[in-house]
Amino acid sequence: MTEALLNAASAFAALLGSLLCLTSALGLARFPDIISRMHPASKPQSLGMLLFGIAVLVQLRTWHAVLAMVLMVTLQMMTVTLGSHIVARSAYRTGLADESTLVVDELARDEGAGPRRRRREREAPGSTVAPHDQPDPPRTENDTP
Amino acid sequence: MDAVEVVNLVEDILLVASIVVLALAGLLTMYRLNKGPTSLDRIMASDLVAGIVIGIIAIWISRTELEFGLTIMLVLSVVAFIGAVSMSRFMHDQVPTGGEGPRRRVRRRSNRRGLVRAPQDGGEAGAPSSVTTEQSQHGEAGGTS
Repeated sequence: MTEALLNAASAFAALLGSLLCLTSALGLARFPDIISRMHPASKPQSLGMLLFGIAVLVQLRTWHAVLAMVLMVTLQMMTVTLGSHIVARSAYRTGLADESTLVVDELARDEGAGPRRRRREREAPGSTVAPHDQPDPPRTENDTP
Repeated sequence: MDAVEVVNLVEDILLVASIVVLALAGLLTMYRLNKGPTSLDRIMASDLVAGIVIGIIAIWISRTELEFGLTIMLVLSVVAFIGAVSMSRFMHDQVPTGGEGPRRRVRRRSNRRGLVRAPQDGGEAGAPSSVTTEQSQHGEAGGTS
């Protein structure tokens, strides 16, 4: 009886993970902008992977499974966020992102010149030293790997 | 009907439902993969396809209790991340940005060298002047853009 209940709980976790995958697929298919698509593509996916890991773990109940699933969930937590961030930054730098929808444009300050800053420079040269363009404290390492 | 049989039936229903939900998510992701206006949309969609395949493998493991599926899940999560990062870096260097791709690339490289050189200049001239060198470099970066 206990085993059957554990298997049912594992199936329930798998169903929750599938629903999260469906959520991110819906967001990916329906959202209008590339940056707003990045958000549903990455956020539910890490939790979905966690739920799939729990499902496999509860089903198998071996130390081998514990090791593999902890490793997979940790890697997924680190890499999904990194990958989506890199994709969004690449969209910003290549000008594919619709920057009129941005509320805060921190990459423009960090990189010295984003699309918005270039446009401002083109319209009024020398006007780019705005209050939010104050130089950061001296950096010791490169922020563009 | 035995209680254990009822729980097993519930488990089967949940697993079938999660397979159906994952198939729906795969269809929506394929729609984005087909339509996506830019390559970055397709990169995000293929990342999500890898997540959906991981989910399907998790359900398959829950059904058959074969342990070599764990390795497949682990490898697939890492490979999806590497694919997304390398494709977005490739896009980052290739796509012209509104007709000024090469110029932007040259400017970015010079900016990168400036950021690396900044602490050395500050160290030679003393601590208080490091802020001013940073400011002048920001001015140069804004002026040449």
